[in-house]
Amino acid sequence: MNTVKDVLELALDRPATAEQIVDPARDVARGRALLRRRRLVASGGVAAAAAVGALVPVILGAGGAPSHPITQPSQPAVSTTPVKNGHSSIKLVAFTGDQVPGYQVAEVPEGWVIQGGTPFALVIGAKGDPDTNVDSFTGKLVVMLQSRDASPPTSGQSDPVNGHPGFLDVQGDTQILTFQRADSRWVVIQAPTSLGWDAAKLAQFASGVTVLGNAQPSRG
Amino acid sequence: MTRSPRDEEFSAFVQARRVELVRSACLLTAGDTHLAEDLVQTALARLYVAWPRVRRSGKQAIAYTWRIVLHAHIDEVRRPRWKREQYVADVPDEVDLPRSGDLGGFDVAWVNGAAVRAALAELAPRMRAAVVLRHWLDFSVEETAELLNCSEGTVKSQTAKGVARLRELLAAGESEDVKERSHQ
Repeated sequence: MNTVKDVLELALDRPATAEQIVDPARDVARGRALLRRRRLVASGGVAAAAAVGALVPVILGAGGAPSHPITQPSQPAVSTTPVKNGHSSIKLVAFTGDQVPGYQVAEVPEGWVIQGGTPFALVIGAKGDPDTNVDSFTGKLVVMLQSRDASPPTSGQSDPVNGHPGFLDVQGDTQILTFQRADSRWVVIQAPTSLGWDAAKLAQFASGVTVLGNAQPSRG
Repeated sequence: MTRSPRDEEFSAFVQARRVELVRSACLLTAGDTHLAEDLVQTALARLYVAWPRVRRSGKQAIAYTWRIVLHAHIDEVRRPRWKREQYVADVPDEVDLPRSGDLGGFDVAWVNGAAVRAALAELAPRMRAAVVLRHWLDFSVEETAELLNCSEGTVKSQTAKGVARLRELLAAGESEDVKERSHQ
């Protein structure tokens, strides 16, 4: 007889009963919802790229299908710095608001706010952006861990982030900076070109990103 | 709504394992049934996502589920948070419930569930997890080491120290009860 087991069993109020009926419907529903969210997050980068050049930008609904049109976020009246490519660059300013679970940032673009976050992504949007859906990444600055199913980048080496190589990819009006952290996990920063950021500015923002213990990579 | 093969298999797993998962998670949480339910819900949702990978054997699925429960629990206890109050419909009638003295290595005349939960709560989360995995769930030292992501030596020492500490706490609790009774 395992006597430790006897003692542990005392801690449980109710004895195990073989005839206890379990309805798995709620667990299935929660599992389906999580799977849907992960697929949505994983498709975020693709969705942002796909929206390039489209006459009417779309956001993704819960089922992953386009749901309703949105207007482009209006640019806030903030100070900007001219850059060589003709765009204006929105300054980075220290973030002083409430952080959310998953990821923390030291700086945000001036006039932008954290819209929300999950263990899968931190979403930052322009203040006043009518699209506050945190599953919609179009025109927003997004921080996430690289998908479990994606391979680390090998081309497009860019400015280093905290001493680690960064890799920059530009897809339409979306810049994607991927860099490795000291703990070997890869982080992806997705930024709209409307921010007017060059590689150095993206790396500056990325260097202030902290990935918390509960952050999780998506799948797909 | 149509049910996929994933839904069917996952549902069967939940029906077979959920009750025991919650009971065992209650030991990990030292009796916090709400937290135990939260941990199991989280673990099962993630199991559903990973089902195609882990369904190959029931053993693999249960180990995967426990890995999520353990990591979620350790993350949870590391996070500063407000203490959750526990409401119960009825006051448990187990207070002063005498147990026969034969608890093997536990040299105590009697003990009750509240005392065991209080003693479990005194153990560090990873130590408590090692005791529960080894002595309640009957995982091997090797399996426990893999689940806790530590060496087999650590599992052995944490389990031994955990059991010794439980014994000490329960014996101390018994002494206090004897003193209280002698003053009455």
